[in-house]
Amino acid sequence: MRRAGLVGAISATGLALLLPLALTQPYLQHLLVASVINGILAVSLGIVIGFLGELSLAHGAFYGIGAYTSALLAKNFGVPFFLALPAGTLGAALTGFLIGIPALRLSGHYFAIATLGFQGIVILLITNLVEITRGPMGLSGIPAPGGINLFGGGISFQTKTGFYCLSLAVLLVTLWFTYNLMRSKFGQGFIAIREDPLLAASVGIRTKRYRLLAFCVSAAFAGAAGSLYAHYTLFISPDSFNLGESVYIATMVIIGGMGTISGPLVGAVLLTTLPEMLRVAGGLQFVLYGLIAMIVVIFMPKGIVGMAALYLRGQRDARIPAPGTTPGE
Amino acid sequence: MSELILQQIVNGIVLGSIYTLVALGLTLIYGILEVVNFAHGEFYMFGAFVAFLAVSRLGMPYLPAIAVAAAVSAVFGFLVERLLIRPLIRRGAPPINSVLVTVSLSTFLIGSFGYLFGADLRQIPSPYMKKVIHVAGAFLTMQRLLVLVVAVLLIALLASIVKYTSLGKQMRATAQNIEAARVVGIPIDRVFSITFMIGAALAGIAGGLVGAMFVVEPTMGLQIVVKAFIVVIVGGIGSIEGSIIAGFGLALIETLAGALLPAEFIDIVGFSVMIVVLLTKPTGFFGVKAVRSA
Repeated sequence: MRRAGLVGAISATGLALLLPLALTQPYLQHLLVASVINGILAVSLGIVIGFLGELSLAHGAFYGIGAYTSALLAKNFGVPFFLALPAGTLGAALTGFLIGIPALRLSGHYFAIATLGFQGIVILLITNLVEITRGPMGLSGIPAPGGINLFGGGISFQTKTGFYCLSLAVLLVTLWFTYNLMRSKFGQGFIAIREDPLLAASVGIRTKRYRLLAFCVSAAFAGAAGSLYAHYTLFISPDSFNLGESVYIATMVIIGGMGTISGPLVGAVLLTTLPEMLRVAGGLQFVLYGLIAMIVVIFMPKGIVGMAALYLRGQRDARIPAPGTTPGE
Repeated sequence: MSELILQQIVNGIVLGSIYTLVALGLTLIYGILEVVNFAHGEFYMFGAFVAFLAVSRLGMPYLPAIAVAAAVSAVFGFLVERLLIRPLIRRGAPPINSVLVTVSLSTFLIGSFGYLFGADLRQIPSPYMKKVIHVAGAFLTMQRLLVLVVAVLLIALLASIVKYTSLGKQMRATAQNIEAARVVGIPIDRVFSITFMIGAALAGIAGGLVGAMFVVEPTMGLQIVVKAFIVVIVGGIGSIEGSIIAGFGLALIETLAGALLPAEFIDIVGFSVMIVVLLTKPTGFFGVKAVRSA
């Protein structure tokens, strides 16, 4: 089972690395990069939605903080990308820590509303600290990541293929970290807290710390995604990180499948590439997303991945139940 | 100077009427169904579009168009409750599911109206926009006066329904304890439907009123719903009096402080106050419901 999973993961990675060879059009390669960045966002938000069972509407804010931290360091202080990326990640994690301490005292509707408030505050700050962020005009002239020398050969990240490999590496780290986190006592703790916070506390799980840990990890990877986005598009503005973005990422998680690691990833790739596959859909993109998400929440709370797993192999993904599949009090 | 302040107070009261109308539905729906309707701003947008279409396409006069907006919004609210909320309540799904479904509904509605109507700037033609009256040195269009009058009448109507009628008693009983209400024979499902219809109608009317003063566009609900959340949290989720006081209070503070401070700063203060209230007094200043905390 474990070995089969590992083989699957390695072959999927190999396949992902071959994709840019098959898809040579710049626009398709752009979609690859966008899918990977959205994948990081969805997998990281999936930790909070699927494993804590809470909806955070502040994920766009963490994404933005990662992007702005990294971009400002690189632009104003000449910090190289490979230091700016961890700085953006850390910046988002720290913000997650500061927001998480108060917000995680709440749960359910109240947590969602509080994160909505924090999302609003962060975007208002980014928009209005014009001296630092250039506000609604956006920040341009962000340096592209420099190349590295590996085994004597140079690798450039300025091409779409190069940048794709770079973001794929970050996505793999996100997946690997999340996978191991969920297998650790912390991951089991998250599920226990989600199912019954009082019972979890009574068996010695330090619920507040565990929830804060999950929230910070989730924010950190959103920050990494932000840093990648900033050094990929080389221009960022507050519009890319607003409440709509938070909701969009949440939609990826819902449609893909809450409570799994692969679900959000599938959701992200699907929602990024679907509008291209269904060119006819035109402006109907968000209509479809909203509609599908509503249907998923009501009829198939495990999302596409949960349904597929059920269909293919019986209860394969039943190890980690999705929120909503077990009745509340 | 004093005239400026008076003018701001008048504007604040009109704005407060809108905040209160939207917030009342939100607080009622939470109080009774324990569902936070993240698509409530889209009910408001929906009402504005219905009123706009009734006037511009069907050639209806403005006031009947508002009544049509109220009725169509109520039907829409009924359908939302039946199709989206009830299956989740039946399943006993955790609160995150109703949050997810209403957030998705909001995406769906904004997308649909954006697709159907585009991002054109449109306004509901209202005869009351052209008439200006003076009240003790402050200027006021008839439209703004209309907003205030309609809001006061609706708030009074809602308060008396909840307080004096049999339906109101059933609603209060359901808000206190759903199971106990069911045991004594209150038709819970009907109460849920009616609550959603009232909430949607109030938001729809507010949309129709605002749509004549500002623009009618698919994302118009996003700004208002955020204000309504602040009002509901500060006033106490589930409390009608709380929403009225906080609704007018927030609007007055915004318009008065708006004369001195930049608008963005006031928004940050609004969010911060909401978060502080959530953390220190999650039941708000007039709320009664306990908050489940992990």
